[in-house]
Amino acid sequence: MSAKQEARKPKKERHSAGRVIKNVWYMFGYTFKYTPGYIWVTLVEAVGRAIYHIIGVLFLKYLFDAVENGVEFLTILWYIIAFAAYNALFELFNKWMLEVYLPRADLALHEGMQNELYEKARSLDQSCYDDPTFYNDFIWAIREADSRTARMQVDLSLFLNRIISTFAIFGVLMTMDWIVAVALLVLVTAGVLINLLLNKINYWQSLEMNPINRKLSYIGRIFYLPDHAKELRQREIAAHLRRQYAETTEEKIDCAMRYAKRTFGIALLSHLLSNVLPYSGVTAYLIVRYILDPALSLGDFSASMTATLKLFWMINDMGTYLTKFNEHSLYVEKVRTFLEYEPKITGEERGLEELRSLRLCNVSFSYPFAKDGERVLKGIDLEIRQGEKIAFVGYNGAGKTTLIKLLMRLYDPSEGQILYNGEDIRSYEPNAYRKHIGAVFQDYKVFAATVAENVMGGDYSDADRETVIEALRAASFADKLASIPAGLDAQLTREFSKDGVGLSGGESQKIAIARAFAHPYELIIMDEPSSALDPIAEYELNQSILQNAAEKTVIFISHRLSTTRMADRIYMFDGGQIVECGSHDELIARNGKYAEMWRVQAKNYRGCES
Amino acid sequence: MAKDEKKKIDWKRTWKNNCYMLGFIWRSAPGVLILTFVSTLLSAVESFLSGTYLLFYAINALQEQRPLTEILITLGCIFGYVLFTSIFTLIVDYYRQLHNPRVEAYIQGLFQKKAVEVELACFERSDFYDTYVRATGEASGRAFTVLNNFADVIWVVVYVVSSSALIASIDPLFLVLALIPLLVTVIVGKRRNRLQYEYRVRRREINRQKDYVQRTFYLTDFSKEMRLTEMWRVMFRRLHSSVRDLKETVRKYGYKMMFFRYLFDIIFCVIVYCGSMILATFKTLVIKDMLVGDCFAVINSITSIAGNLRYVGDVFFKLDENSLYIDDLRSFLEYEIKIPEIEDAPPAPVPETLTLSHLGFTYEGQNTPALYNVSLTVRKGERIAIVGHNGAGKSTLIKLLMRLYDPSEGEILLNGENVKTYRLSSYRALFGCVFQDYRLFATSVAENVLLRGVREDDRARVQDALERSGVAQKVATLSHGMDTAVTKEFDEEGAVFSGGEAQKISIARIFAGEQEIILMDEPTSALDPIAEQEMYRNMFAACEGRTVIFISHRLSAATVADRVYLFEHGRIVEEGTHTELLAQNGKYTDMWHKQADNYTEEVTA
Repeated sequence: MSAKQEARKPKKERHSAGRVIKNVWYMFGYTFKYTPGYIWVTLVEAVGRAIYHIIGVLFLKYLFDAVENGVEFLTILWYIIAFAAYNALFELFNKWMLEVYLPRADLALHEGMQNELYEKARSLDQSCYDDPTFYNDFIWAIREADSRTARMQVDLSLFLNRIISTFAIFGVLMTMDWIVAVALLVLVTAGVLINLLLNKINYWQSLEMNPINRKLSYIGRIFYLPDHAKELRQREIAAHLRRQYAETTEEKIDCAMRYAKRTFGIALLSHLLSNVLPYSGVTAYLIVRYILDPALSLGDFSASMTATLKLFWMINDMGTYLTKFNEHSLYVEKVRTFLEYEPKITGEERGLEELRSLRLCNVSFSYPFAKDGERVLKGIDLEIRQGEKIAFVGYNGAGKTTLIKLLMRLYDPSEGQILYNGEDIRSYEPNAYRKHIGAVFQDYKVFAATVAENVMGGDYSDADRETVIEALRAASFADKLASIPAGLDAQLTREFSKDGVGLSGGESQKIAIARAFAHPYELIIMDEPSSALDPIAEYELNQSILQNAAEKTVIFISHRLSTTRMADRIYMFDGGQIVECGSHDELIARNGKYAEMWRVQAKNYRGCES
Repeated sequence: MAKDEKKKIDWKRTWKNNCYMLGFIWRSAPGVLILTFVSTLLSAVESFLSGTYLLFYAINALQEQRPLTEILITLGCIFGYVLFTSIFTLIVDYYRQLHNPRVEAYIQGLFQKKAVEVELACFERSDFYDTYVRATGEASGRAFTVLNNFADVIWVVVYVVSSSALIASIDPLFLVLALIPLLVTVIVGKRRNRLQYEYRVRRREINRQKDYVQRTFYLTDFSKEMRLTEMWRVMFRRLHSSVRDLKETVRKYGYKMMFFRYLFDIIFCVIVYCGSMILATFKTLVIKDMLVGDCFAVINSITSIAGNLRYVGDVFFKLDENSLYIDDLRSFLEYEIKIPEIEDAPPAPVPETLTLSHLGFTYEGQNTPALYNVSLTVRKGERIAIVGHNGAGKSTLIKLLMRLYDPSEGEILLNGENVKTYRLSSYRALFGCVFQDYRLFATSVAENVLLRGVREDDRARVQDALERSGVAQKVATLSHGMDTAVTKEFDEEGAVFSGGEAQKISIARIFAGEQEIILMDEPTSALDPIAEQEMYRNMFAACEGRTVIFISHRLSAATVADRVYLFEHGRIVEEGTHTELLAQNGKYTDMWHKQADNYTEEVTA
């Protein structure tokens, strides 16, 4: 129902350290493969920044001791210049990395990984799209893979930098004032631990808030998306939804209130322990100590202050990396599952002869992720020979479209076999097999590419020009084509430019039909090829299709029995089974389900004929 | 929302717009506004005291050998204040969490009300829609940005003014040093921003292509084509060309961006920081007119003061950015509705006749009219069929009848009065309508049928409607029957309907309502023939005595109509009963034969 498939955020779960490291290591493989320099550049940056922090502390100690002791100004000046020079150099490296190196490295990583991911996506079984969990993870894998890898790399370098800096600064602080160092460590660690508890409660809160927020944003969307604009102007639905919005807001506030009562005390404690005490408390302690202890030099005091400040936020910061890496690990596993998925629809690479016959032997099928394992097709037997025109008819949900998917090997049958010239189609490599069949689906899709590319269903060169024009003519698109100034090279859809050609439903359908004519397919399958057309256009299109496919084998699915009359043989589907089969005249004579359906449709036309 | 070329900032307007937004907060949650400002003020003072003044005071006090108790009491006061402020800030954070949703709901409420009142054209004109409707609908949180920006102004003013005064009192030269980053921002900031903007726009354009390619690989919609055709080759090529373009863009802009960022860094960590070190040590050691405590305090606080000074410029820039956005929001909220609900207009009467008189309509931005000189009269209880090719103007007619648009020419008369004289809501309430592109809402099945909240005595009515439209059986299998949520949007157990079933639910709306006039736009396109047949039979039975106007491609449906209108290129070209039209032997007859011949040649059954 929704135009865009929105992926749900993966559920949070905690990974063990070993699992996190394994996953991080796995992604490293990709960085090495596509941008080996990444690791070295970020490593150099990490070490450089650690040195920058340590110098920051030690230099201040030197400076103030020197000022207090009245050291020669020129000597101090040289030290300052050296300090400035290091900073200037480091910043230069840092900015080069951020603005020039990383954007390009990210792109290289993106290109390489997306390439691999897309190749994999293409080889996935169609059934993967039906498995909601796999599909959701698959979307995340493809969207996040390379940016995650890049972010992980950067986080790793920052984390490394924090570890080096923390140890070094902690060491320096220990030599100057071990009480402060230890107190700081204890306080901030306690704060971080309490924060973990707080995060857990916040996580529960977000779980409870998610559906509420989803509902709010859904109702919000309803009002600004054009899709629902017409319906909203009818009856009282708008008022009803607005009331729901107000009620949901109250729910949200209630929920926030409940959690606020639970967390306020903890948040206050964590705030005091990890913020107020280590920062203001330690400052106060140092000032008092400086006042009371004449042995403490200004340099020591200053260095302790700076070290305290740096240490304070570094330890706090390190806490966040634990959750970050856990999250990275979560995504990496999605990418791994996806990349390591083994397609089930496979076969040997070997040549296929031209189609002589297609036979279905006792084919049954149920969708792999259907709730109740309901069989959509039951014991289908049929045979189609070269050049025949076949129609599948039946009510909605009788299994016709599913059968087409089996014929195209988007799925393999649960039971029974499909034989191509007497050989099971599972023994052929699926893409090689599919090259012999052109299919037009009910839910055809036009791509944001040129008309020609859409018709070719792939690359187009000038050599294909005649083929494309011919195919479009066969699909009754010639008139429309003449009205498009850019002709075959016109971009379809307005995805990328306002000049793109927007096609109506019927016109898009014709493009999809033209695809089937642009290649020398031996078998053409049309699933409701004229559902979006008006009666006259439908009539003309069907005539045209049959004329142009005179030599070919054609399978039609249609609701409109007037179309199926032209078929050599009609299969009537009901409840996943073939209930009747024969030519139109035979089926009418049999006076069964087909005849009944025919009568219902014909009644109105016939009854009023004057 | 950033405009390509920055016009000169109109400060009066910026101020007014930002205040307009604050007004929303004030009206929906005044406590949020007051407490935010108070806590900002407190924490600005706190930052000044503990970040700058404290060290300055402590070291100098010591050197001046003030009494120890005085120093300790002052320290104690400052820390007491710090403690108080931090607890207060936390409380305000909690308060805001609890009351922010009210602000969002208030602004959303205004937007939603307006979104339903404006005429449909606002949603269909892409320029208007993109700028006003979509942009404003998505961002009810923008008010908080405005609030935070205002808080930043308060913070910056209090903190920067007090700190600058302090270091200026030591030596105004330090203030000059601290002002350098701000000056540089003012001088080169504009160029940098333009560059940044260009860079972003360029990347966004290319990224759109890249993202599209990505979608074609993961969306189910494309999955079959991706397997059965070689479109993936085209998409791969597009990926590579986008990456190539992006690399080119990075090459073009990367070094320039690096230059600007490096410039600011150098100014901070070399010129301001090291510069003030040199100046301070020089003054302390060589000229000897500066206390060691001052020297210490200056070196420790100069970068933070300089950073905040520079931030002053950013804050005003942000307020201006808000203002551009608020302009759009205001234009939408203050947009003059073309088809207004007039409170004191008389309610629409029970319809006896509905007359279109020389009706013409042209969509905005189009040259050819969608409808041209259409005149017809429908009397109570009649069944009217409207037939014709795609694009003949049939759906536009339905929209005009519902007053989703008003005609460009001619008028629509209800019982002889122009429909504009009646109250809009009461007029629309006369119609029950099934659109071609019907939509279901992610609420319960029953609510979808009733298009309002469900009352206890509604159940039988809904059940009856579902039965008539032929979807009751399916609904019965759902986990909560007619109370099951539609779609899995909110409920894992939500109902997923096929196209045909969804269409039947939307048709059930007609059966559940008591509207006098029924409009149906291709109501059966997703149904199979038997279901279609049944649906029409039920519809005519249920709507006995009510007026029905329906659009259909399938002429078999038109045979039961009291009158058929054949549309072509926005005009009525033929009209009459089915039999009359067949006798005319015109376009209708031609259409009829193309559809019917396959059925009529043969009368075996």
